[in-house]
Amino acid sequence: MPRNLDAIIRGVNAKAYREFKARASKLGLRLGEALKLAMESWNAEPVAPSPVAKDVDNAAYRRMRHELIRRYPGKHIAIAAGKLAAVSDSLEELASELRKLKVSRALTVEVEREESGEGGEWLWGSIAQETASGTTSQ
Amino acid sequence: MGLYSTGDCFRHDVTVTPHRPILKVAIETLISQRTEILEAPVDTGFAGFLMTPSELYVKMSEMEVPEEHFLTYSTLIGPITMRRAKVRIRIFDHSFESFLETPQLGLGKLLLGRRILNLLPIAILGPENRTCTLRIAEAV
Repeated sequence: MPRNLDAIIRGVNAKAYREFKARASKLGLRLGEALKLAMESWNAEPVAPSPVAKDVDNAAYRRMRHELIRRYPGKHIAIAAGKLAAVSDSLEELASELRKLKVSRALTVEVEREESGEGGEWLWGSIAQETASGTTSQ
Repeated sequence: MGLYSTGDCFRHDVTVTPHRPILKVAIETLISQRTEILEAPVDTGFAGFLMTPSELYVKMSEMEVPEEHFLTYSTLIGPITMRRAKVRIRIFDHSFESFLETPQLGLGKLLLGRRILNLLPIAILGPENRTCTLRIAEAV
């Protein structure tokens, strides 16, 4: 039998709380019961891969940047789990190194050679989604 | 300069008006070596690489560059910054390391931009509804 515990949650948005409570009431549930169901449902959902690179890796890159420029100019480097994971002469070699290390995602940069800033223009200017028709996996 | 002959060709999308030049693009991730094949509209008005919908980008962005190296594009609605990840791209028989991009905010769309188009010896043959790779037939 799973153990129950009492929890105090601070900083709940008042409007969201009132709406949640009203919805629970409509369904004939007490607040605690509704919250338990909501948590179970949320926990059961698979975690989608984040579209955002891990902040810890970006923070590590900012921290290491000067050292990387000093030690590895022109090299391809990978940062994973907040640490420098691999350094190689080519991107293919770097990817191969990461495969060996069983790293499936990493922040990568060609030190001192990577573009940044203004990319140019995008004349369409619309960010509406367009379906990638005919997409297949291999 | 020279005389060119056409090699492989790809049919334009004739389901839209006016017809749209598209190219078959194979994207390969470098770590897991997973491949996706798609038909990307050619967009000479986009200065970037291969823009993809964010859902596809998430799947294929195993090697993203740090956010300091995301590029910002000028558009009619203001600047848009794009996330950027390294992949291998194959179009016709040309294969090279390049980038996928998707807007940091918004869903993105599928577009083949000039940073990739400029690497390819291709001709858009509008009246024939096809885009073809070119080979030098005779040097002049």
